[in-house]
Parts: sequence; structure tokens; C-alpha cells
Amino acid sequence: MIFDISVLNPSNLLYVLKGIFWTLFLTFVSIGLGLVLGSVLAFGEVYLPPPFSYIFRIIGEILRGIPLMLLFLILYFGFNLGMALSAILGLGLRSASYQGQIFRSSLEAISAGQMHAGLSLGMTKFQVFKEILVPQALRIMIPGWTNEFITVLKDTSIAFVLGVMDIMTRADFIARSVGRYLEIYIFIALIYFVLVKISMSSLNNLYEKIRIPGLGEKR
Amino acid sequence: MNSLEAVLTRYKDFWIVGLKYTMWITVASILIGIVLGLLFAIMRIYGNRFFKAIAVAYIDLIRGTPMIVQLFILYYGLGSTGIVKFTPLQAAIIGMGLNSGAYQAEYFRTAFLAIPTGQTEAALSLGMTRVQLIFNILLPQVIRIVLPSWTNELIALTQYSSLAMVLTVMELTAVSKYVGSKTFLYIQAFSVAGVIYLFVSVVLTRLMVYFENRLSIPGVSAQKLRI
Repeated sequence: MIFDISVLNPSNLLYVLKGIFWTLFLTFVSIGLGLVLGSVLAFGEVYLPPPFSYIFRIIGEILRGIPLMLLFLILYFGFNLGMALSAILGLGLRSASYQGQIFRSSLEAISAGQMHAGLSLGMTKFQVFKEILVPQALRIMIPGWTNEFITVLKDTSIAFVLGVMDIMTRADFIARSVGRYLEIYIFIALIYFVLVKISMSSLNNLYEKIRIPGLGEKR
Repeated sequence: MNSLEAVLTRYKDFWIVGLKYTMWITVASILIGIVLGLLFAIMRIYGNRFFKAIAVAYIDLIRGTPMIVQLFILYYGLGSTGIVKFTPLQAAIIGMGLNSGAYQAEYFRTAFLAIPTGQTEAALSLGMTRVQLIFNILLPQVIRIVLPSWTNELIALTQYSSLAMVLTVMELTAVSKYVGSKTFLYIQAFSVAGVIYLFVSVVLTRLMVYFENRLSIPGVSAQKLRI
């Protein structure tokens, strides 16, 4: 029998579905961590004087240049962090390097005239930043950020090598113990697909809701 | 420094094999991806409703699921049913090629759509067939537009080739883990792998920029065509 539907019985499915918690937990925590660290990276790269800005840039380049799998292994075996911490830090650091770029490019998409206007009105640089630039940048960022969110959601499956009990690990466990692989893996592929579609449409809705009409339109 | 030497020189052959597998997987899968991507992009733009639906479903499904799950379906899933039995290397190359095909189909599609429709109209009114139009007029431009995306795709695939490790392919990451576990010098072994990955991506980027400059038509900048 090529496709044995009886493998997908409620107890197996429930066991696999419990992994959604870890998958979503890893996604949200590492996206959040990536957002914070990514903005630090972006600020460092753009606003610090040259010798320091290079450091931030090199950190970003390295994080983008090595595979996520290797990053996980370095954190887990090299630094002996626990598996959950390695997974979160690995995903978070990598995401930071990408979110930093997204944040930077959306900051640069706002015209420099706004900075000049703000300064000439007597605002401090920090005020212009906080009141004028960042609120716009965050909105422009969302479409690029949606892609990043989905990438991280899919990449949580790589944390499987660390043994974090997400959907992927649980599916692998069940598949090995039952001895049927195809059914279970197709099932989790569908779960990931549904999760991706849900997050995509809800982030698009968010974008439509909070975007400023006319700002950040397709150029 | 001593430990670094131990990691590097004693396991030199392993590193070379690892790099070879990584590059082999990357290059083979991007070539499969180019063929599939072009096919699906043309199906999606010029196909009738049936072909369009197939292309859209394929692209959506592949882009909506993690690559590691796709590799597992291909290797363990299909392997256990006994229909087709791939070796780990074959499964990695085919799986990543299928995956890359979906992403490249989107690059190709945006590139096709970036070319002004006036050219299509002109070609058709001159009596060219659709095939002639695609291969003689559009494709030479599309390839130039799509080149920068190929750079990104190459680098992404170089990194994702590390997933072949879970299929027991001895590529670079697997080698670094093996060397680390043999010598207990994990940080050094992983650093060597990291440096090799960085080096490979720098070389690939330079190479692609060279091709971009080499192929660019003076006066018609691909930058300008990309909207």
C-alpha cells in the first residue's frame, strides 16, 4: 500500500499537532528578538561613525553568510547552550541580520527632506526620529517583514536537528516509530502550508489597515 | 593556532569532499531550478487555464512548505513506499532543484512582466510565432533581468545545501560536525566551515556581478527595466 490513511489516526495526529506550540513559540520569540537586535544592527550600521559601523556591518554579513544549520550547531555544540536557547538565538540572530536590512531600507525610503524639515522646526534629531521617521518606516517595512516572518516560520523546522519538540521533530518521531513516512510528512507539509497562508493573509490585512494611503505604494 | 591546524590539516580530505558536495548540490539544483522555473513561469503567463492552475498550485505549495519537509517526503517518504529509491545525494539535488524551481518561476515571471508589452505586440504583428517571440525576443532580456536574483538564489542554495546533512550527505556542515565530534574542537571546526561558506558566497557574488556586467546591453540597463 502506497498511501495508508490509517496511520493518520487521531492519537498520532494529536501528538504531531501539539508541536504547533513550539513552532509558533519559536517563530514569535525569534521574530521579536530579531526585530530588536535587527534595529540595533541597522542603527549601528547607519548612524555610528565609520570604524564602529563596519563592525555592525561585518556582523550582519557573517550572520547572512553562514547557513542556519551551522549557526544552530555552533550555538548548541560550540557554546553548549540548551536546545531551546540555541534554536531561539540561532533563528533570532539570523532574522536580525535580515530584519536590520529591511528596517534600514525602509528608513532610507523616507525622503531626507523630512529630517531637514523636522530639524528646522526646532525638533531634536532624536525627536524627528521617534515622532516622524520610525512610525513611517515601520509601516513601509511590513511587506518585506511578512516575507521574513514566513521564512522564519518555515525555518523553525530546521531546529529539528537540535531536537526541539516542534511539528517536524514530532512528525519524524511518529514516522519512525510507526514505520510509515509519506503520510505523516505530507500531513505536516499541509500544516506548514496552512500556517504560512494564515500568517500571510493576517499580515496583509494588518498592512492594509495601518498603512498610510499613498505612502509606500508600489514604486 | 595549534588546534586550528589539527582541525584543518588532519582532516583536509574531509573538508575538500565536503566543499565538493556542497558546490555540487548547489550548482546541480540551481540548474534544475532554472529549467523548471522557466517552464512554470511560461506556463503561468502564457498557458491556458489548466496549465496556469498547475503552475500556481506548484509554486504556492513549494513556497508554503519548509524545504526540510520536502526533502524528507522525497527521501524517506517516497523511499519507504518503494516507488522510487533515491540515494541521499540524488534526493538532496532533486529536492532542492524542485524547491528552487518554484522560487525561480517567480523571478522569471516578474522579469517577463517587466518587459514592455509593446515588444510582444511588435513581434506578433511581424508574424512571429509565440515560441519565436519567447525565445528570440523576450528570453535574452529576461535572463539579463533575472541575473541578480540568481545571485541571491545561488547564495541561498549554498546555505540550504546544509540541509542535505539530515539525509546523511557528507557536505560541509556535516563534515564540520564530524570533525568537531572527532577532535572535540567544535568551535574551531564550525569556524572553518563558516569561513568556507563566507568565502564561497563572496566568490559566487563576484562571479555573478562579472557576468552581469559582461552580458549587459549598453544603453539598456537591466536596472531600468526592473520595476
